[in-house]
Amino acid sequence: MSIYNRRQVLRFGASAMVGAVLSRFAIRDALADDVVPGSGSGSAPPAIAGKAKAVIVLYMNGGPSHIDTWDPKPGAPTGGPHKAIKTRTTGLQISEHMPKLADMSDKLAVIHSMSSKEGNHQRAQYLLRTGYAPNPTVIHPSLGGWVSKKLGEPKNGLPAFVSLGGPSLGAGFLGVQYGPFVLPKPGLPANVTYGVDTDKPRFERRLGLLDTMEQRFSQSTGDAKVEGRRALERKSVALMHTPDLSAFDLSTEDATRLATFGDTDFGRGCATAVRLVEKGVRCVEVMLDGWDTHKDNFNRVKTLMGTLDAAMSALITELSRKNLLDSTLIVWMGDFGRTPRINGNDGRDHYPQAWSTVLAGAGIKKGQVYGETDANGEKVTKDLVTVPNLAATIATVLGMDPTESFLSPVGRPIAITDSGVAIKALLA
Amino acid sequence: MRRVICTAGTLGALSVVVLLGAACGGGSPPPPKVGVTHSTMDAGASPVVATSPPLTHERIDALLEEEWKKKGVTPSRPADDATFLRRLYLDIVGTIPEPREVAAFAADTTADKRARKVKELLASQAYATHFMNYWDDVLMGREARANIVDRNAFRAWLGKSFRENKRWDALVRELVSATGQNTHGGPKSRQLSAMPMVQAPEDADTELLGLNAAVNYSLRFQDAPQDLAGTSSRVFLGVQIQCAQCHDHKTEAWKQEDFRSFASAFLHLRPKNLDDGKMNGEVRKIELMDFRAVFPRLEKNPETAPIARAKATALDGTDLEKGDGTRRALADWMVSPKNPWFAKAIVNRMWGHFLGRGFVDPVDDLRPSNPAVAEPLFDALATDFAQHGFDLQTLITQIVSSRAYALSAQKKEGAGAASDPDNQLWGRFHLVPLGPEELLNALVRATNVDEAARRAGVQNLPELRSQMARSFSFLFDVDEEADTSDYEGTVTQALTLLNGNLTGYGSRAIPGSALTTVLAAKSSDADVADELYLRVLSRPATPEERAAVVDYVQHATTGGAGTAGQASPLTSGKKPKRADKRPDPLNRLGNKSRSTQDPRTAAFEDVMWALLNSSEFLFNH
Repeated sequence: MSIYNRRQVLRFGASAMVGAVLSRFAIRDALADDVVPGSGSGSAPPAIAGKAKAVIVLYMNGGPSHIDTWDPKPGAPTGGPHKAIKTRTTGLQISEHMPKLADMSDKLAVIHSMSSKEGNHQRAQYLLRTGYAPNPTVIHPSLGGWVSKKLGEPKNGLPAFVSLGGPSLGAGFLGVQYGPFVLPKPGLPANVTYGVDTDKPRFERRLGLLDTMEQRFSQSTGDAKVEGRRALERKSVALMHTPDLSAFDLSTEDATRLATFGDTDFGRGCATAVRLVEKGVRCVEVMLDGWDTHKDNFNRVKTLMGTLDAAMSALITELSRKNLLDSTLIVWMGDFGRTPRINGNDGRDHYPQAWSTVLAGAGIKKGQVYGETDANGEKVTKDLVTVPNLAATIATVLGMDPTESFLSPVGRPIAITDSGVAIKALLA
Repeated sequence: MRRVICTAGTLGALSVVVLLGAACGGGSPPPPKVGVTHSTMDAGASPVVATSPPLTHERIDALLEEEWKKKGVTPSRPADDATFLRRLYLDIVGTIPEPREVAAFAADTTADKRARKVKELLASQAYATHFMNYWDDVLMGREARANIVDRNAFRAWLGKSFRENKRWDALVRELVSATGQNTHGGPKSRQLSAMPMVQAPEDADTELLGLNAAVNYSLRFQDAPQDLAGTSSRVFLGVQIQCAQCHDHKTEAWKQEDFRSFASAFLHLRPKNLDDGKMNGEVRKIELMDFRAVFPRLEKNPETAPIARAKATALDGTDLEKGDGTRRALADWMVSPKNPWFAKAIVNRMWGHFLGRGFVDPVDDLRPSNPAVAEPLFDALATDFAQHGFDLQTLITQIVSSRAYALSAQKKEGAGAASDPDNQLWGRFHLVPLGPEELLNALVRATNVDEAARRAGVQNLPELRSQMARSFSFLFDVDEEADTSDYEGTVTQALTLLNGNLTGYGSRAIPGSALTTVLAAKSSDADVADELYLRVLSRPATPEERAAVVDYVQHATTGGAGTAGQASPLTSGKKPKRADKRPDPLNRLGNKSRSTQDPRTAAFEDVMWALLNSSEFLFNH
């Protein structure tokens, strides 16, 4: 267990590099070399201990109904009107509205036995994204925050952690630099092209002017923060000019292949996720909103499953075609499940007692169902999985030690997961 | 036994009381008249008698100088007037001074000009707005919960409180024990647009009629009273009691049972829905009430059940179940001058806000294992604050009149430089990046982009501002409560300043913009340079800087460098489809035909752009 304090490291860095102009990035690189085996900053290619080099999180905002998606209960009073279809995986039927995913069940590990105490959206989203129950005394990093801290940034200037369709959760006490690069919609990010009336020569002239001003202020204050800002600016300019920025731009994607993802923002987000992972991005979140179906559950969930089925199956196919599926973990999850009981508005309400998540890709023992619920989908009857244990499983696949601790700003050690233990049966 | 402490029936009759933001109490008589602050009519608060004169800045300085001496710290030289003025503006009113204000301050030769400026700024509407924004962010965060939280009304309530300089104990008491109605209803979207730092509308007060908008703070934590307890303890007392929610901690004083007992005080509040039927897209009208019994839903919730079983008790063991409701008892205990945490928490937070680092860092974590620096000064300020009526403006005046607040940010070399490497004792002024509110305000003031938009035909300027604020606050998620020695920013923020419309159009020489105004008023290149520095950096240019600008402009004029033309680095020709297709409110300023063809003007646009991207502009220093 390695525990270190960002500020202590900074102080160490300052004394070790007397006279040098310190940038936050220089410090971070030095530090990453220290604690992360073969982090992306050195000259050697990154050697990640885990099976996955990247993770794609498909986040189902609002809390998807488990009974209407991955854990159908045909014939039960709670089952609802949708039918279930068989899959090749023993013991797994899924909704008839996800035929493509049913067809590739051998590539999935479906967990039927998730359970938590958090039935409020904000608290549940925090729990799923960070692996910790919220507590106002510390802001925990989300999965992408840990990943960008531990696995590092790609060298080509792309961000380590990208969130498509936000809102996302940041890197908490690790600092905003490890937080997500948020795009409200898939496509080229805002402000990566020259601004109004500006071309390359003018942009460069402006940077030259700015540099003179910065040097003066940096010298007069002697403060590392100014150098930190200049480094961030250089990083931003590098991002503007990296050819790999085109990973965000789907206009160069093969139209037929793109069409298989479905004509939705979520589908385009999944298509972008593949391209980003291909270019070294470590964590991509893609959000599918609309699962908070207190009313009209069955029609709405049917539509959402249509979007999901096309996008997620195409995501797996495309990662596989590009030989990225063996190095990319896919996580499907949402806030919680929904009540087996159908309410008066043909809806289902929040239900954290029993619900489903899905893992696929690198490091996962696929073609299995893990855990089960009772006949009505009300209770977990076998192999209950807590959110910290799910988080530990994900961390392990990514080569992160779930028990490794970092000091929060108030000096409390915070582990990557909340005493989570990886579930062996899910690991390949 | 259930007893409704505040009913809808009493609300109408007491609307005047509620307008004042006062919680309506079951047995206490209505306050005598409008205009009386809440605290003066509170039976619970001990009468405050000032036994000694307020702490002077000489005494504050002497206490800090003793610390410097002990640690071998040599303070940096005093900051010049222009730097001090900019600091004062950013910290008290959340923006930079106008050029004429900088000039007038420089020309003023009276000895007490700094003290008078402090007084003037504290009396301004902008002070109330800035602190409304600050506390709205601290208390409500970025969450919306727009279906039950009326953010507009809450902000109006805060704004009014700071405009009246409501005593801090009264303000906290009202927040912690609030009962009453949250909103008059209306579309949720209106609430969402209120989230960022838009100026409070002038007519906001009338919106508060019949409401106690302070209840919105509690409603933010609807169904999660453990977080209401944790946040209240952390923010108002600086005690992070919720650390003990999950299990006892080996090295810390607070046990799980302490947290449960404290949080238990918040389990008696209950929302009553005032609307019938479905309220799609509307903010629900809710009346928040206190009951003797715990809300049954919370007794069943596995997270809150153990809290429901605990007896409501304050952190020092005071029984909160006697008397007039647990939240009122808690509020009484919390704001009592005898409470060891209450005054310290706010003094530490305010000192941290102005000086860049609190006595205790982070500002909301007071505990024996995280000791304070300069403890004698910390104690003296806290005691003084409690003894002199919990008056925030007095506290602010004391802080900004200190020698520490007036020091230069310049790092010293040589002897003594290593004695306080983290600058924990404020031997030089801490560099603090501008927050979203300050940055947007400063950008608009420096560029006059709102005037340019008006000239370009934008009708609804408040809406423009609100849209700019929303797109801006999205960029920031800064934890400004902790002092970090490295700069924390995101690529998205940097890109917005490098290539975004606010700096792009803001530096353009178009009708109404700052640059156009300056070019019309000044003829020589040197004078234009001076004026631009004054506008953006709130100081005149140095001779070297002036010469550098003149050189750049003359080179551009004779060198014939083009102004614009090619598109982005990524594509040649057409601009690719951008991810964020939300219409930018500033797009009206984007007309290509407005591009200047004059090389001199274009060169000054470059200077303006560089100033707006400079660290000197982007930090409070």
